[in-house]
Amino acid sequence: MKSGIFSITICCLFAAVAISCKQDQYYLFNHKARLQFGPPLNPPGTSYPTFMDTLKSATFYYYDNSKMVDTVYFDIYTIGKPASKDRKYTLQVYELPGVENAIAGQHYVAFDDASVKDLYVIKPDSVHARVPVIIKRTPELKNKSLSLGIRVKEDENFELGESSKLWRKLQFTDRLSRPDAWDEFASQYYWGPYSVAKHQYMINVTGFRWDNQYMDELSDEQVRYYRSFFQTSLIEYNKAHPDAPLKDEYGEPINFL
Amino acid sequence: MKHLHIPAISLLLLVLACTKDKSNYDYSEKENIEIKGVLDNYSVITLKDTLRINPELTSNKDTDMEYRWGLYKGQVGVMDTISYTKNLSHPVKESAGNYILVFYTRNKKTGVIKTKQSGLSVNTRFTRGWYIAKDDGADSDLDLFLTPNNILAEEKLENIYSTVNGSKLAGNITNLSFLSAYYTYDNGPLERTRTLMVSTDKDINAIGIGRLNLIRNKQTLFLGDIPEMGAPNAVILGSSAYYGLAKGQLYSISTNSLNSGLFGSKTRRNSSNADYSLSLFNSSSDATNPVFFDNTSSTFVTLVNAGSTLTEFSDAAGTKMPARNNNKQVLFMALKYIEYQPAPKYSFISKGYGVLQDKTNPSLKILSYLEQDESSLKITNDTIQPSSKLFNATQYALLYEDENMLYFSTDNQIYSRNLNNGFEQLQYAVPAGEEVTFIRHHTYTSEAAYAFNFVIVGTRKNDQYIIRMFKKSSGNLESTPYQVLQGKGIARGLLYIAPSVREDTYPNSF
Repeated sequence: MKSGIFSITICCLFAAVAISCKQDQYYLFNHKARLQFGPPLNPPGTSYPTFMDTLKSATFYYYDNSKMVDTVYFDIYTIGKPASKDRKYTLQVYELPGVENAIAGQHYVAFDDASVKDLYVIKPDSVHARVPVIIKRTPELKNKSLSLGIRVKEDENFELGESSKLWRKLQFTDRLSRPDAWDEFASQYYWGPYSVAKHQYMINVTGFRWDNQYMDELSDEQVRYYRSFFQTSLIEYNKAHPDAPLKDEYGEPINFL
Repeated sequence: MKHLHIPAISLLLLVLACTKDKSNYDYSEKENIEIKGVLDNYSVITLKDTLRINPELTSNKDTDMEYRWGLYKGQVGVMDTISYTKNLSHPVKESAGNYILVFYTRNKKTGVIKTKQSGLSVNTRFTRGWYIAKDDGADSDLDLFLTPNNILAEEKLENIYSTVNGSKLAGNITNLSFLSAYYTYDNGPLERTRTLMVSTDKDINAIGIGRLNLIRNKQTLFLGDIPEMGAPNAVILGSSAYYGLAKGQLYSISTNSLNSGLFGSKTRRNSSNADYSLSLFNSSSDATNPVFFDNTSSTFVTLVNAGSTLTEFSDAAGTKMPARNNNKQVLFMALKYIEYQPAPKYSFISKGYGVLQDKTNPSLKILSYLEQDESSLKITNDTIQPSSKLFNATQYALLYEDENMLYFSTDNQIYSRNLNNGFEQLQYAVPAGEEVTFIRHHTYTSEAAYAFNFVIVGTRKNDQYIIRMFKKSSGNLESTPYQVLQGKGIARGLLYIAPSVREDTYPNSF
């Protein structure tokens, strides 16, 4: 009798297994909306490195003295359904170690300042916004760079998104500074190590700005052209100044690979 | 126990064995639609021809057919529907190029579809014929001799460049070459464009074959500043680059990577950016490093992978003359043939010839056999005796991948020199009063009806040119030319252009 019950139990289990398979349901995101930073808005399929745009730099160097403020934009995205009304979001500043941090009001316009707080909203039917960070030109920026750490803060409209995408950093100055496009790849394959002296030389001999936008828009063949152009130009400069070859601010001879 | 296992397993198998029946129980005969009367390939001339095709359709079913004709440019992309009727009558307005013509038909009663694809070569009047690059001592133009049926010219379109574009090209012709994979935006998107490169001593002009329009010239052909122009200006095909020569300075477009057809920065002679002046004459191919000669330093140089600095050739074992600082200048140089080296090299080497003159002793001239392997060069010299006809030659043509002979003109007579034994022979006595302006050896084998292997001699008589095309027999010219082309001006070069001509069809464009 026991063995009969055992066999029936086994059969039932097999039958249950056989008929229990069915397609899994799709689960929709029904939780409270979340918020995180992301890459610039571009056509679908465009791929980006994970940490692209996490650090941006800006400089007043290229502007005339009348320009006292500038705006740097980051991109922020919601997770969840779009809403039919404006959704405010909240950013907070965090201290970056080892650098001089910008001071709200003095070096940048605080995110909760009455003049700008309404800018930090996700518009109706949208899942994306450009985050303005308004920086101020102060005399001290002629001699140093300041940094600003920004983090998403949970509020009544949004919970936090992925932990690795909750922050952004901004570095700004009034001096010539390394454009974001002059990254490690560009240093290794195009322009060599960055130095302010080399950057200034490139601007001087071409008459172009060589800021981030300019460098970002260079095609591959333009990059090849300018690399060779600078190599030739530097050879001629050093031939004309045999006792004073071009060196960077660290005393190292400048080269373009 | 056993009695229970059998029904349990049977029950399990029954549960698992049930699947939905998706079998096809339609046993009627399959519909078979046949399309006849549509060829595999068509060739038309745009803005002139109407493409007419009357297909015949048969089916073993009752039919209520619908039709569609469409064109694809290239292998991919969106089909451009040109007709919904069974019989096609399409006035061709498409730009020159190769298309895929698709005939699509569907039986609306059964849903069965049948298609037929054909190749469609859209040409212009300019896409086939003999192009003559000529000047009048001040400005340049092109004549085009049309060849609708075979290689014999039937109609001349004189000064066709200026007729189409409204003005002549500035300067006198220095070189004529053809690129079939040159990138331009001429038709909108960046794409390969079949382009004539007409170089004068004042400009380098990229002229699209399709419409014979000026695509670029010195104003737009270079990244950065406009180079100084002056002979020798030329565009030369290389293995990984197109080379632009502007007053002896070298510029390049890397064809190994995406480019928009613009020449880059001037190539440096060496790490100290020394002065140099390259000869127009070279031994370059689409599979090997080019052999250039710097007349300033008397050094054979090459450019590896469209780099930014010229590389001096090293001396290969057994060479009879150093490749560097040999105190010579080049009077002529050309490619003879290329040869594939199997494992372990897996690369091509090139063989060429040059005629060199000593700078210190101009009466010393040598005929040099140049064996190039990557960046090394083996030079074997044969001194040209002052008594030989070659010593005073002014125009040259090396037979490419053919008899081992060099053609040349001395005192306006056409001679050959056997490169194996030095034997020289008068090949053609140019009529009195004519001056030889060029000699070429061109071979074309892609189309049987148009195939040729000619030694071509261009002469000038007053303000007229005469171009004689000779067939060869065992390397010697036939007594009378196969074809003679004549026109106004001084002809400096020519190319036969056809849809099947590629940029490597005529390696030596001088």
